[in-house]
Amino acid sequence: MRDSLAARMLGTSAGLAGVLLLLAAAIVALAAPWLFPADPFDIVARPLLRPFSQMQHPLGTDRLGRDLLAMIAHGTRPSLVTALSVAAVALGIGLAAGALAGMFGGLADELIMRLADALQTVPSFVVALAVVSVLGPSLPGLVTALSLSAWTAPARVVRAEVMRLRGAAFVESSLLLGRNRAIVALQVVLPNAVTVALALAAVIVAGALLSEAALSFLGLGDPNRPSWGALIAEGRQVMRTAPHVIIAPGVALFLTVLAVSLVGEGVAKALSRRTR
Amino acid sequence: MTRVLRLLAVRGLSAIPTLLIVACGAFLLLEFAPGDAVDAYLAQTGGDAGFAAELRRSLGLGGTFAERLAGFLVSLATLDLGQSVVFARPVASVIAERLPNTLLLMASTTLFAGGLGLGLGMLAGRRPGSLADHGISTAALLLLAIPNFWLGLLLVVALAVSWPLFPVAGIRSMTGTGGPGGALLDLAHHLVLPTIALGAGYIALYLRTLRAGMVEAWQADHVRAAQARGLRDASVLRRGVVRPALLPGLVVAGQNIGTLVGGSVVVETVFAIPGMGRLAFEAVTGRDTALLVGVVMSATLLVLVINLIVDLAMAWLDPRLGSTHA
Repeated sequence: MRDSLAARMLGTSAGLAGVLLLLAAAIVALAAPWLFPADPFDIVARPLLRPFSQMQHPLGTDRLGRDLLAMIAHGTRPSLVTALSVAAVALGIGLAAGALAGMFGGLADELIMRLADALQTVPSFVVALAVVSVLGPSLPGLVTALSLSAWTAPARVVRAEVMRLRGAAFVESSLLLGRNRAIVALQVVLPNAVTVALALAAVIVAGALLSEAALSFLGLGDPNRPSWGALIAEGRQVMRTAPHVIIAPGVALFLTVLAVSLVGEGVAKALSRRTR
Repeated sequence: MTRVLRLLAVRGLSAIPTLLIVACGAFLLLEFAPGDAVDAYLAQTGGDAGFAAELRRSLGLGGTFAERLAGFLVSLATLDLGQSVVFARPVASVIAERLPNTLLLMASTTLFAGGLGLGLGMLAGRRPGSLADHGISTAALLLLAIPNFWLGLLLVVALAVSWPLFPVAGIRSMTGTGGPGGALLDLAHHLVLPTIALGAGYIALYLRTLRAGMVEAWQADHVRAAQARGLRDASVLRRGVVRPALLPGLVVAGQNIGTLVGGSVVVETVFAIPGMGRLAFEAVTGRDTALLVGVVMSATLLVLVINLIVDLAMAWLDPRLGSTHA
């Protein structure tokens, strides 16, 4: 059943295009140390070299003479790792919280959902900004900051689905066997409610990519790693005379977010076809 | 009228736990931030350890964790947000000064994105599967993937530097603008680029919701009956399709207030607009935790208030909402 969902997702033009684009990004992320073995922060040519003017530096150089393509390639992995970690953490917490809230109801439900309400009301980017400024721009700090609001959406849909399934015969029989309610919620009900949260994964990854870039753009990223947002921020000073320094990293970010959205579109189409 | 009052009461009560949870989170932020308000104050004025201890006692920063939390919540409840270190003024007055600019940007963005999204959604939803529908839906995906700060910079390079149609930054001209009419035009002129940068992604959100609503509305029995009676498309559209589609549009607007505030942090920074969003950024770079906490609390309150207004507007558009028979 899961294979047919993946196959159906690849059957949609959006899903196929998204997977291909995302594969390309993943290859760049993994191969960057071999493709550009030198330190990407090394000064290699004269500053503000135009793109496509020297074949050794196809995208040109920034205002310090560093190779833009090398920095963009090296910036791919931190971006993808952060966004995927946020999705994993947010989905993990969201699925567990939603399943427990839906299964237990009462006080547990009330506590979890009021927390979700609060985190959905306070602007998530402001929260991320505040948390990163306290925890620092490390990977765990960034993932905590961005997951804090992101788990609420999957928690809500899973809770609704679990409440729908709660009265089903296979759940009741598990409970009648005397198994712990929390274990039934996570082991029996949750696997049947997971698909509804699947379509949200792409939204979370895309949002995390954009938020992470925005944080680096504001100077709250890790200064020791090349990052697309930080590259765009640095390029601001020279963008009037050399717009390529902000265009190139922005296009990389745009294409990666687009790839994730296309995959999400494909998954949504595949899911809706199955339910029909 | 009782319907409105009931709605106000329900919303007001449900806002209390939200505000409490956010306040506790903000308190943790204060606790974990390196240094406290006294350290920040002494860094500017100087003073010995005895003076610092005195100051901590007078500001309620001593005592146990629970005492500090209680003191923090009490001062929040009395709308006392403390003193900003960066601005050397009460936090509340700095925020009050910055809020109008952010509200202006949020309003213009919602009008721009909502209007364009409504139009495009109607066009796409008229004939699902048509060329126009595919084109518009693809454009929506592209719009959602554009980083707002990057779009802002590209707009500045293209439309403010290379082809100077719009101002590069700010919200008002320093020089005189000639009367209230001129000032309004000047403001609108400054708002064009930030509005496009912040609004591009929201066009896609409105468009998708309205497209789905339109597809459904055109298939509804009362609309088909109106068409069968020979009513022209334009009047069917106005009476039977647009009005019901406005409700989901309002829902989208309500859901996205928070992200709009978050987006304004970046866009206001790009365009150097002195608003609340840029204030959040200034609080972080200036290590001004009291100011940051003030921005978090007022942003939360802002979202709650706007959501209440959206709810009231929806209750006005749809008499079933909030009634006991719903």
